[in-house]
Amino acid sequence: MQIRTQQYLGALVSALAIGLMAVILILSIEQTEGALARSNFATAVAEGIAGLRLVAVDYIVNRPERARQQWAQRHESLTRLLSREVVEEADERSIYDEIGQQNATMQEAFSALVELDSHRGGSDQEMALSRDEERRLITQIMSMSQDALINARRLTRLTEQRIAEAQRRTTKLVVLLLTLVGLLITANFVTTLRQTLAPIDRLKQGAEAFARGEFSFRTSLTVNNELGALSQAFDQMAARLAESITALEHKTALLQETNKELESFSYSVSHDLRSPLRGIDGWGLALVEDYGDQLDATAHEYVDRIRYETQRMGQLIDDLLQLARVTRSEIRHAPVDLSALAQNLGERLKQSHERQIEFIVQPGLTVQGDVRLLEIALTNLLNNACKFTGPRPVAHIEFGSTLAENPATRLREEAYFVRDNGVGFDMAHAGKLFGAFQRMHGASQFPGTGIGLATVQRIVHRHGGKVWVEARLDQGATFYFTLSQMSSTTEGAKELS
Amino acid sequence: MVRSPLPPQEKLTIAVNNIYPGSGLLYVAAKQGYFTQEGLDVTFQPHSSGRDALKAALDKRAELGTVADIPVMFAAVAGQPVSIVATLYTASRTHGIVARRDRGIAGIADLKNKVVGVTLRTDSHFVLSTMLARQRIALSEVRIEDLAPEAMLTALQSGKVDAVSTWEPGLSTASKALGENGVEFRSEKRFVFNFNLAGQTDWVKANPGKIQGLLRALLRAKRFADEKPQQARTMIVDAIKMDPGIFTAIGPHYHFVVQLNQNLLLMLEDQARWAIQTKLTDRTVIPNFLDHIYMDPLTAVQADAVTIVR
Repeated sequence: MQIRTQQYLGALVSALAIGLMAVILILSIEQTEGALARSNFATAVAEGIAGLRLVAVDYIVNRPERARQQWAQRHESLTRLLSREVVEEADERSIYDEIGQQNATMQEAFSALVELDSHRGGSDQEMALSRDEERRLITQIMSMSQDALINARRLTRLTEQRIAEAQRRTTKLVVLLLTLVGLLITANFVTTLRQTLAPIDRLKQGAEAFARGEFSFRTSLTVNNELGALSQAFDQMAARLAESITALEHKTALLQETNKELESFSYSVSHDLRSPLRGIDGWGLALVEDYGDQLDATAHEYVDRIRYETQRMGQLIDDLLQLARVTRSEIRHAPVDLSALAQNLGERLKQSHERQIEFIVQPGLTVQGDVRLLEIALTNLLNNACKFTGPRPVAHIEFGSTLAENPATRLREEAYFVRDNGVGFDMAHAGKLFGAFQRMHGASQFPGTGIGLATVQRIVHRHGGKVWVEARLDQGATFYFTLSQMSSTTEGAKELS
Repeated sequence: MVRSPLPPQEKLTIAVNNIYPGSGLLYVAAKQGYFTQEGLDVTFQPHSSGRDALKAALDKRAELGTVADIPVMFAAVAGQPVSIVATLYTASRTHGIVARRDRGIAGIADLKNKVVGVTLRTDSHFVLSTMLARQRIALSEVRIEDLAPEAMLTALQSGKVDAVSTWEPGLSTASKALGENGVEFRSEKRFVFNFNLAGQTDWVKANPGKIQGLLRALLRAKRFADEKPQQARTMIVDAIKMDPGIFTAIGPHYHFVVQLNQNLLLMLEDQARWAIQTKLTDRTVIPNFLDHIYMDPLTAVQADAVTIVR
């Protein structure tokens, strides 16, 4: 059953039970009120009979006309009372009928007594017969009124029993209904727990397996509710993902193969191109040395240009070969003191440049990585910083780590950075910055092959990290990079940030 | 449902007036099997009057008898060891007088010096006396002919008697038989006659268990009669071979009960006083009838059915 349906059903049954309880209570109140009214009526009848009995005794003892009148009035009011249709229950009605008959009989006897009083006298025998009759009538009045009183008391008892019965019945029904509602709520609760908690646990296991990359996990829930449907959707999604990942892995393998071939090809081409280039440069030098005096100024300029372009192409090939090497070479992980590495590189740069360069290196930054590749990456980044701070009277270059927002993921993460106060660039072109042969500035202004940052990105990627840049035109640039095992950077990051 | 096994059956013989509806509850209880369920194997011993039924019980030909007040009163006045254990039936206007108009009888006062058939020492004897007394006529002023109930109709039709004082169903039968020539005087409503279950005192006091079982069965029969009056009436009419029309006609004036009330005491005393005054007994002292009503079994079975002041 669907969880929604089960909850609706539970609420409906509970509402019905509560409604039923309300109806029972209303009916019980009505029954109790009815029985109470009948009890009051029975009490009024008993009082009527008691009054009748009292005036009868008064009449028998004293024979006042007043007592006769009171009897007549009370008998009439009692008869009127008894003629009221207030009782529907058969047993109560039967007792009322009996009281009615007893009332009529008492009236008959009392009337006979009054009549007897009006014909007193006669012979001794007649007097004796009258006395017998009088005694008999008195006995009958007393006996009948006693029976009527007993009947009235029985009526009161009956109505009281009915009140008690109604209350008992109501209590039992309410307790029964409450028990049923309680059982229903418990059953609903237990079923819901069973049908939701276990499936939710299973779905959680599935999500955790996904997080671990185990796309073969299946929740396989058989419950017939919303969670069952969710489980099916989940398993279908897992199957589709597994298919996609298999396809992706296949494509990646193909791409790697192709990449390998390309790298091999470019390495071979670059390597093979170096010898002829050295030859051209060497022969150019020989031409100047051996026949320099025979060449005019224009010829010298042409030879210089040939040698410059040849050397530039050699540098380009060296850079390409380096890029190919960082891609192909095997990574050898070891602890690397990045702070010390950056410090040494900075010192070397300062020595090779005549202008004023200020290096700030955050101490204590160590990481697991390939020292050879990480040195290449740092060298490229620091060289870049030196190059683009050329126009500044004092170059400020800083290396450290901090929390920075990765623009690709929008998450703040711990990253190393190289910051400079150079010419910077417009971030609109940042997207192509890490591609090979991509340049932001003209070669005449800032010489270079455009391969350095591509090499940096390749090294960072091979270390499982990411690289990005923040820059503003004429306001310097900051290159951030992360490595998969940045274990020792926290303290330093705090210091800098 | 599995029925519980029946208890061992004890034999009990009850002498009944089998032409009067006063023993009705006994027939209903027997028909419904209530006696058997109480462990009683009840046998009915038929008699034509309660007087004979009581005599059978006092003579130990039966354990109990169904009987009106008068025979019990005479037995008690005579010092016999009789005890009533319950009243089973009350009736008013079921006794009366049927007279022949051709004998000059138009009212009760005309009965003076006439021959009136009556079963002596029964309620009808007492009723005749009280009805005459209302007219200032002494019982001695009419000529009494002692007749068995079943002889009443023939005596009246043949003219052997001018009138009969009897009870239902004989009363209605006689009235119907005389037709236009008949005149009927019914007892007044205030005369409520009891029909009782009585036996020898020694026996009833020695057998409270049997009597309680009997009373329980009779109380069940009463509930049955209250709930299904038509079925109960059919059972009774079949048992006493009574004209259903007559039984229906007297219906409003009878009640099947299982009780012991103050009226029983007062009626017994009134009748005893009458018996002494009319010299129907040579005793002169009204006995204490409390000694002749054994209340314990009914009190044990249903206390509120006993309303005798104690």
